Formats: sequence, structure tokens, C-alpha cells
Amino acid sequence: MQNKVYLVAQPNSGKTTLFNLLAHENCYVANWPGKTVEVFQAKIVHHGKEILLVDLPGINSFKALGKEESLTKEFLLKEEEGVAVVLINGESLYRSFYFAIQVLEMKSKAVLVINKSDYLEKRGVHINLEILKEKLGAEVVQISALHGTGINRLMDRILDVLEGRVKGKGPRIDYGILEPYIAKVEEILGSRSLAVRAIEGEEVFVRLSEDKRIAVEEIKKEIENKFVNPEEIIAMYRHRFVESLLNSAVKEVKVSEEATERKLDKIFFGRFGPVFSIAILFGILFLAFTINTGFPMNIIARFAGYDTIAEFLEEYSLSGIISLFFETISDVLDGILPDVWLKSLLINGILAGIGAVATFFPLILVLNFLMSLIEDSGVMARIATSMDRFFSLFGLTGKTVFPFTVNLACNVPGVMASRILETDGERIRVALASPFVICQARLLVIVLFVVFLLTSPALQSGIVILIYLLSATLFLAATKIYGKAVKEESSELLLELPPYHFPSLRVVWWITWERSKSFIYKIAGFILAFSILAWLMDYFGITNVIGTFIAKMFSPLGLDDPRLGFAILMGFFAKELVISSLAVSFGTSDLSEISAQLALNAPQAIALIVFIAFYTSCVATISAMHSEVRSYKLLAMSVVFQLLIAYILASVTFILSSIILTAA
Amino acid sequence: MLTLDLATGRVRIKEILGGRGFVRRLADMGLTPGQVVEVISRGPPVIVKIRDTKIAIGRGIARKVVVEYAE
Repeated sequence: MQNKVYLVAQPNSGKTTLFNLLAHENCYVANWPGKTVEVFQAKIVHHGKEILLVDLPGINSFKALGKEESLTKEFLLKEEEGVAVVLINGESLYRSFYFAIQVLEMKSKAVLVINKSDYLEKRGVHINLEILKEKLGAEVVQISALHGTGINRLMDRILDVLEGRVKGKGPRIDYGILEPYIAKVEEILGSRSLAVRAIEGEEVFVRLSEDKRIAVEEIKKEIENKFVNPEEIIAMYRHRFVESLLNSAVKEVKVSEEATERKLDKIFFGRFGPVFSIAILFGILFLAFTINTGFPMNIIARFAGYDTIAEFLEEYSLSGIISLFFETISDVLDGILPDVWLKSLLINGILAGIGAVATFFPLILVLNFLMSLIEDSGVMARIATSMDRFFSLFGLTGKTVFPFTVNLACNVPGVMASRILETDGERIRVALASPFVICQARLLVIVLFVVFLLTSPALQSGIVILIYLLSATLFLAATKIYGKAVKEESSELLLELPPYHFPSLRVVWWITWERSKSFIYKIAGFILAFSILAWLMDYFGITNVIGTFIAKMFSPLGLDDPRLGFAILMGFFAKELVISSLAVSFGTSDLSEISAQLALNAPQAIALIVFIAFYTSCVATISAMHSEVRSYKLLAMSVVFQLLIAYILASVTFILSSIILTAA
Repeated sequence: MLTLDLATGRVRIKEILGGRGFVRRLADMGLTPGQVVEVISRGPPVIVKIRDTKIAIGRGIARKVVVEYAE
């Protein structure tokens, strides 16, 4: 299809809202040719003309850092068919225009869209579109993607450009003292915009003959000898251009920072900002946990004496309903199918695998929903800023608090959330360290073990607190260590703080659904495959061999029961399987019965709990890490490191608690 | 030498100390020599206002932005 339209914008410009509005649910995810990056596309029809709409990843800077941003840059530098639709963020005109003029310099087939006209109206900002059109040499449309105003006009202009009825020239920015050099390079490259890019030190995507390349390099050297940093000069002239553009085309009737914004910012950036931020994040986690499993609200209700509420929460939690559903299906199948190996594969392999994915889905969905709510309202940027001081101690930016928080619910979306980090280095460091954060599934296993294996309440709560402290420490330490491996030990925050606004439910839902869907697509097949593999290993008796081997490894700690070794092996597939696997091999689901049979002393129990908390988990997380870091070497490093750390910690806590408990 | 992490009020950016990529990244956020910015919070991270946009800047970056008081 020839009629391609590309959306280009900085983050927070409302690009997602606009795409969603234009696409009318006809969108699909497609891989960018030759890249692993996924882009959204949609086929739309306007006035009988078919158009392929491509949503390019949002890009903050042309100094692209990540693989997604570099894709957008690549599109801009290439001589590509199609129309670029450049979004201007009405909330941030100056910065947006600085971005847009660079796009327009490169793409003459373009439509400039000023978004958030509702906001501009509210703030009394008037923009003269005629002046903009003349100075920028491109069609200009003002819209509000949120309210859907101006969309038809936008589509008409896009068609005009597509069909060649209007031809843009692009802006002519005067680069002053650099002009003679630009002219020289332009002669060689045949394009002024490429000439400017080349002088800026950008890799220019045109095939040049060797002598031409040398000629360009020589001019560049000449410039660099004369002016230390040509980029800085170019940036200065661009800023001048934007300044005069806005001075002539924008009139502000009244500009006042809204009082609520100032008040909220005062809290976020004040002394108690981090406390406030953590309160918001924990509120979100608490809500997501409770909706999913009833925990921890059920405990609180029970504690307060409301047993009926606690029971209600447990019985009607989403994952409770879903697991009941899968149990019922298994029971029915068990009753009607003949007793052959296929039945066992179906029930214990495939159905159990699908069930495991399904029970996790609500948590992911709820969490993604709440997270995109704070993302779309401007709150996320404040939280990241307020947490930056703490995380910068470890060479991370405040943005890390988001993947960290999501990790407390589940490591799989936590690893995926590392995508919001700006540099590849930070992204990989956080993704690889994620498994050290105790997720909800592990918390439940830990709590059960603590309650049944340890008798003293002081010891019980002490161990849980110790595990969380260890978890946070290990996470931060691991990011440092992995930083050495990826040769980027610290990243710095540079983040726009958009004005606060009420999130659009439509956009929030869209983001939620896309992210949750990607969990299903990426992870479900993997979990299913491993469930079948686990079943096969069990069927052929391989698990017993491995279980015995694991138990041997733990014999120095006295944990040499092969059934325990087997449970630990199952926990590698999914941590919650530790409990069910013990239940199966001991022939009872009564944990007090199991713990009586295991007959562990306190140091052994503590060592076991610590090991279960930290050893490599789970296959779904490993698969998510692989799709983020795309390196088997780094992946193997992370997996081995976790296993090693867990074993060492278990041994150390065993020795220490033996000493302390006998002394006491 | 006054740098952004130590400044308050309205300041003008004099120089950005860093390689080309670094200068470029800041320029795209509106931080270029000659630009007047208002420091809203010293943080860290430093929060500045450039016209209608607020930007949070990590201390390590702010240290590399040389400024002088405007007016």
C-alpha cells in the first residue's frame, strides 16, 4: 500500500490518543521491517481512500538512545514515501516546536498538528495558524485529540499532501555563520537538510561514493577547527528561529500556573515528597493485590474482627474465581476421560499451565490499569523526580521506582516496565536485577512457610522483614554489578514534567489492554511449553532424579528430603508450585502435617525460606528478561548469579541463626 | 564557576560541559547556551522552568551546565 502516514511526536503529546481516535480499533501490532521493535499500525479510510497509519515510537531527542527511538530517527533520515504527521504538544509549545522544526526540515511532505487545543483555550493562548504555515512551509491544523475536535480537517489536509494537491517547502532556518559550510556540503549531498544533519555529526543514510564522503568529512573538520562545537551553534540558531516563530504567531491572553499544580508540586518536591510518592505506589499495590487475591485486605479485615468481609474477599477475589473455574474443568475432564497418559497430560500439563497464566492475568490487568492512570495524569513524572535522589545513590534514575513497584506484584510485568527507562544500560540493569524483588506469588509461599515452620511470632515477622530488606539490598546491589557488565554504571534523570490533568479513561484503557495483551502473547506460550515439559519430565521420572540431586546439594544444611528437592525444582517453573508440589508428594494439603513430617529445626526452616525467596524464578520472568535484554550471556549471568546468591544466603542464615538461637 | 545545581532564581545558561551527544540531548530539552531558565527547586534533582515547560534534571547533569544570573 502506497498511502502511508506516520505519526511523529515527543512523549506526552497525545500521540496515543490521536492514534487511538483515528484507528477506531482497526489497529494491529506489526514488526518494523528488519527490527525487533513493534509499532502500531492501522488501516483507515478517508473519502474512499485507504491509508496506512503508522504510530512511530515517541522520541524525546534526536540524540536517540534506545532502540525504539532510533527507529523513529531512521524513518526521518530516510527518503521514505508517505506523509509525516508531526504533533505539537499544546502544553509545551516551545519544546514541541523545537522538535517539530527539525522534523519539518527533513520531511517536506508533512502536516503539523497542534494538539491539546482545549488546554490552550483554557489558558487563553491563541495561535495564528497562517503565520505558522507560512514560516514553516507546511500545513498546520489545530486539534484536540482528547475531545476529537479538528480531526476531519486533519484528515483532509493529510489527503491533500498525500495526493500532491499541496506541496510544502519546509522551514528555512538561517544558520548564520555556518551557512557557507552548509552550502558546500549541500552541493555534495544534494540536500540541505542532510547537509545540516551531517554537520551535526549525524550518520546520514545516503549511499555516498568514497571521495564524496571524504569531501564531507573535510568540511566537517574545517568547521570543528574553527568552531569548537558546531552542534551547539546549530541548536542556538534553531532556538532563535523558534523564538521568533512563537513571538509572531502566539499570543497569550492570560498565563497563570494553576494553583493546584503549584500545591501538588510543593508536596512532591518538598521534604516529604518521597514519602508521598511511596504512599501512592503502595496504595496502588495494595488495591491491585486485594482485587486479585483478597490479600492483604482479608488479613486486615480478620484482624479488625470482620470475618465475613475477609471471607468474602477471599472467595470472590478474581484469582479465586478463576482457579475455581479451572479446578471445575479439571474435575469434569477427570470424570469423563479414560485413564490414559493423554488425560494426565491434558489435566496436569496443559490445563494446569493455562490455569497458571489465567490466575495471573487479573493482577497484571489491574496493575497495568492503575499504573497507566498515574502515567497519563502527570503524576508519574513527579514520583520519578521525587524518588531520584534516593536512586541516584545507586547510579539509577528515579524512574526505576516504577519497575521496582510493579516487581513487587509480579516480576514479569516488572521486567517489561523497565522499558520506560531512558538508557539501554539502565534498562538492562533493572531488568536483570528484577527477580531479586519479592513478588506476590513468592510472598504467599514465604508467608505459608513462615507460619507453619516457625513457631515464635517474633521470629515469623522478623524473617519476613529480613527477606524484604535483603530483597531491596540485593536488587540495588545487582544493578551495580550488572552495570559493570554492560559498562554503564550510572544514568542521570532528564525528564519533562507535564501539567497535571485528569487521565482520559479511553487512553488508559487502551494502554492497559495493549500491555496486558503483550503479557499473554509473550509469556503464555512459554509457560504452557514449560508446563508440558515439566509434565514430560515427571512422566519419565526425570524430576525425581533432579529432585534427589537438589536434595544432595542441601544435605550440609540437613535439608536432604528428596520431596523438598523436587518442590524446589517445581518452584523454578513458578514459585507457587512449591506448595502444591509438597502437597502432592506428602499426600496431604495440610501444611502443619507436612511440616511435622519434615521435622525441621528453626535454622533449617529459616535457611529454606531464604533460599525459596531468592533462588532463580520463574521461567516466565526469564522469558520476559530475554525479550528485554536479548542476550543469552547476560541472561545466563543473571540466572546463575541468583542461584548462587540464594545458596550462599541460605547457608549464611543457617549458620548465623544456629549461633544466635543456641546462644538465646 | 556557577553551575545549575547551585543556582537559584532566573539564570542564563553560559555553557554546557560535555560531549556532542550530551549537548545534543540537553538542547532537545530546551537547554542551550543563551537560554534563560528559572530554577524552581534545587532538589536534587534540580527542577527548572523553560518558558512553559518544567524539566527535572539529575544532579550529575546539572553540574555540567554552567550558568550566570540573569539581569
